[in-house]
Amino acid sequence: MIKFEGVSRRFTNGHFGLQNVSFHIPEGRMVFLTGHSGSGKSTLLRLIPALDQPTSGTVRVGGHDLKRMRPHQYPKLRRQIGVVFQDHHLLLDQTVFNNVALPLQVTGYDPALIRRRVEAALDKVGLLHRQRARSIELSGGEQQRVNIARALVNRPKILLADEPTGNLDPELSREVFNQFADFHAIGVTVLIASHDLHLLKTFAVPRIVLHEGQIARIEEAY
Amino acid sequence: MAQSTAPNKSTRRQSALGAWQSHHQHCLRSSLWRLVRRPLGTWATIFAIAVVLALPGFLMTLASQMKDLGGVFAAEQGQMNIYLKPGTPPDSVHTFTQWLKQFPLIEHSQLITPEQGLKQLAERLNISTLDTRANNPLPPVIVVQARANNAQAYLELQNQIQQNPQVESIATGGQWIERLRKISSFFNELSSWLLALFGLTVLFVVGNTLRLELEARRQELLLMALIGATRRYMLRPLLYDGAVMGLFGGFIAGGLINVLLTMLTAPINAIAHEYGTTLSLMTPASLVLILGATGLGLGWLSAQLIGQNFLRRSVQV
Repeated sequence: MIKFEGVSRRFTNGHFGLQNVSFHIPEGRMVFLTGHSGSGKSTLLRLIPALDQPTSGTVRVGGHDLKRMRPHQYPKLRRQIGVVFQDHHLLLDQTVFNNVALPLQVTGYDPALIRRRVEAALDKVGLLHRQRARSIELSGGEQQRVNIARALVNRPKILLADEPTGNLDPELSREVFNQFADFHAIGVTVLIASHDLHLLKTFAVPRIVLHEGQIARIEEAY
Repeated sequence: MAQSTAPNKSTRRQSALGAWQSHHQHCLRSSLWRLVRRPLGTWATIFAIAVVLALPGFLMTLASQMKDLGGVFAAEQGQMNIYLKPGTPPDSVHTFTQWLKQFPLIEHSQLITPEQGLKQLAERLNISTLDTRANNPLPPVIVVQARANNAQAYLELQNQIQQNPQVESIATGGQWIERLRKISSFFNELSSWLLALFGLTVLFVVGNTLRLELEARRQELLLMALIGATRRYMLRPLLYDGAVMGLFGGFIAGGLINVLLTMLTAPINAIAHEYGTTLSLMTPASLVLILGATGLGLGWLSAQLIGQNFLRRSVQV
């Protein structure tokens, strides 16, 4: 599903965000991406939805070589990928409903279908009762759950999460990870970047450990 | 979440069309709402567009009014000199004078043959004899006196005669009417150049406002790109903003020109009165429409250029 072959990303200042990274995540697997701050986790995640391009190497997503993809094909790729960021990326002046509906609106779904799906997604993250609230009125944990609902409302094949529990307390963090595990259970390929080792250890999931832009080791589930 | 309740292909196509229409409606509504929501920046841009478009528009109106003025005066005088092509044989000249008789607006006409013309010229120059051994270069001229009072019909008559292949040129009224027409043509040309030049200014004015708007919406656009919005989808609200600002700017430019013309009516009529006529100066509806369409087009183009450039630089789409 996600395949990196000798991928490097060198920034304009000469620093390597990633260096010769290779791994393969088969369809329907859940994998953790871990490492210290600045180890290249976010750089790696940005390459998967083609938000950034590798300097060298090949990134394949769902069988497509992203290097061969034309920019006008990116939206179609991104609609198959749900992304959850630490800093939410919510439209704070919009309601919870509108934020979650956004991926369906840009895809051009019927309003009635959008309503059904958004309500189902909000119900899943336990925020159906807050659908009319403006996002700015929500707590950090609630905002993150809206973020998750938005990432999943389009029924993506891949879910990427970059430090999704960075702003949350341990209990909420655990709840968020449980939700990711639920999505994995129904066939979604999940890749979560986190440096919260304590939390990661509670899940029997393979881990890719990054260190200074390189893969230090790949740990199988235990 | 992955349970399948996916709509079939035809339903999806219908819903996609509906969503596309609904997005256009939404963009139009929010562009109009922006006029109320952010009045200061938006209306400042609209007035800047209006002022920039008003100058060439005003010159165009003035040129057109001067042309009409020439037409009115020429009609009042009712005289028209038709110069046939040099060397037109007498038979063809005769046929042409017969052809002229079909126009009811023509009161009478008088032919001045090249020989008569040469004689008149000699008299005017106080020359007793002119050497006519060489070919007479003067063309046959027909002096037409039209029935007065209808400038439009007079201009139409002039156009119809001008299209006759035997006609070389037509001179109407006095020399000063010709000058008026030349000045009018000059203003017409000048206003076209100014419109092109100021059109560029409109691109920059609208572009600058939209650039600020884009900067303010950078995060939102990044998010849209992330969730799979196409470039067209992201640009659409911006295109509507540019087009709406340009359209309003164009219409207000029409209003400004009308105000200027109203202020100029009295002094112009004072001059016209000297020639025994009065004029009603007003912005032609077509000019207001042209200015509106020009503003709309320029606003849209500006949004397209700025938006495409911004998305290419800031968002990977």
